Amino acid sequence: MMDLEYLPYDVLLEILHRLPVKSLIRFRCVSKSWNSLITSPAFINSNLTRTRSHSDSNKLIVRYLDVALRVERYKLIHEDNDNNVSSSEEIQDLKLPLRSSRLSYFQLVGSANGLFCLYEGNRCILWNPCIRKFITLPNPSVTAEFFCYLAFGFDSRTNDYKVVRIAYKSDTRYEGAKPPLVEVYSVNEGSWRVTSGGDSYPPKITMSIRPQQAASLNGAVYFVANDWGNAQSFIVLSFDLGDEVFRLICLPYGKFGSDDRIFTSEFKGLLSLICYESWHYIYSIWVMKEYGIVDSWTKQFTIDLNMQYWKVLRFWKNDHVLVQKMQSGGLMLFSYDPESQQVKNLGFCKSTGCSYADNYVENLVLLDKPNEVVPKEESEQEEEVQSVGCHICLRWCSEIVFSAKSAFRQKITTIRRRTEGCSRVMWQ
Amino acid sequence: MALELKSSDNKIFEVEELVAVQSETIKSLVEDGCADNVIPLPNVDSKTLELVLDWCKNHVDMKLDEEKLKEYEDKFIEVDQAVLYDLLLAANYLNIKDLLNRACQKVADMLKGKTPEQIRETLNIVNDFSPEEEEEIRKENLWAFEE
Repeated sequence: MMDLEYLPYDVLLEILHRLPVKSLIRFRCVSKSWNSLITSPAFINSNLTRTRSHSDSNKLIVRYLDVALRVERYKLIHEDNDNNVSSSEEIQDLKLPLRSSRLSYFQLVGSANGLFCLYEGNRCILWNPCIRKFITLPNPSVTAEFFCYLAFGFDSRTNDYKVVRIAYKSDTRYEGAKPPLVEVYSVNEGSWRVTSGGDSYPPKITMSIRPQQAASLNGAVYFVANDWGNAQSFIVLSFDLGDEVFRLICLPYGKFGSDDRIFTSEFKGLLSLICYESWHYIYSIWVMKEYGIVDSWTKQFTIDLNMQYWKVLRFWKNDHVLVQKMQSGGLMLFSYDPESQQVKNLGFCKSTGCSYADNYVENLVLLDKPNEVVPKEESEQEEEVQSVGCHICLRWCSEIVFSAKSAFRQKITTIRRRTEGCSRVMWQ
Repeated sequence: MALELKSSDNKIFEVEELVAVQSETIKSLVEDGCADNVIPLPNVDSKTLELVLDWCKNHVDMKLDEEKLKEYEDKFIEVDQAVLYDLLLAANYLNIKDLLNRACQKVADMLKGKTPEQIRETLNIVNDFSPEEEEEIRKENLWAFEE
């Protein structure tokens, strides 16, 4: 090959692996061999391994919603050693090119390494804001008689991103109920595959909240569930992306009340629980210091909300917490220091819906997949939408949307019913 | 113990073994007992070899002083393009990991902001894309070409 004559192949690779994604995409144009090298699965995989191992940067990617404009946006934020948070230049108000056809924007399944999994109905998409590429997954094969849960995670053993779909066929509160069927989509394989995961589904376990963003870390996804064999107490249900087996992790005894809202998350690489004690307006953050050891659950810190409405988004590497706080005019991003209890308004990513944040790593995943064209009707749709924000159960914001047009009146009634259980709904 | 290295332009360099074995290539020759005579290095000219040996010597001398070593490395790598490429190829041939890493990083930093045309010029690469093919890639990734 003429062009690689000057530089030995492995030296060229070493250099390419040190280039930012933007340059790599640009250099696809250099020559045909550079193009096939950069878009090869081998390069994409080794590039990810390299950036992950060198990643000591404190970067988060934030997904925030402009409900009125029906736009979901992504922004990189970075906290430096002096605790100054800035918004990174690389991704500036990046909009997902696809629009949801029914709701204002897609529902979020989860994310891993900055790759997002979104869905509406049966349509699931993977979106990589770093290279601005998305793919739509083929339809799964398993039908659910009751409902489905989706989760998304990264399996570092095979360098593969996986979507897990758990389809319930019966009410699993009861002894002897049929376990759910589990299907997994692998990005490397490019297809869904029915697994025998259901065989390991523990009896009398149901998912706690619906929908739920299962935390993904260490090659597994983690749901908050209820154990009906133990007075409906909270428990963590995990699904390992490698061996495709369900496991249970017990929570510290007597620490959680049935009115608490618990979410799984990650705290410095450890499994963590974000517990919102609604009656006391307190967040308590629990961390499992030693994986699998129930006694190692530690209450890391609490956040006294003082009657305000916050949503905990993500933990920075320096122990600060990224939160979303209700202000007049919208939901703003703040950085909270549990030690000093100081809050700092970050001044960007104002959202009219719930935000979400994840650890960010530059990556080329999906680069080797065929390009998808954005359907014209979806991208040009301009509807008048009014939005409703609920600040007590901020997670439900994304579902409470209705249109002023008469054709959608039906949707309004349905949505109102969903929010009946919530005592505080704020109308904008 | 001293070793003798011969550059491509036939210049002999006498080096201490401790310094020379920073190169994994030379290290394996020593371990295999093939280093008794002059070691020929046909892929490295004397100018480059002198620089490389300076790197190796300083890495032995300053091993315990991280700050001083970093200062040295930063200054060392500030060379012009032609010398940088020679160092890169030499570090690869002689298998000197830290020099190779540093040189690759420096080259990457140089290439980072360039256009594809500039890359081709710098690295002497022929553009085998048709204008339509190249345009297609650009169109799909407009954001990467904006500054």
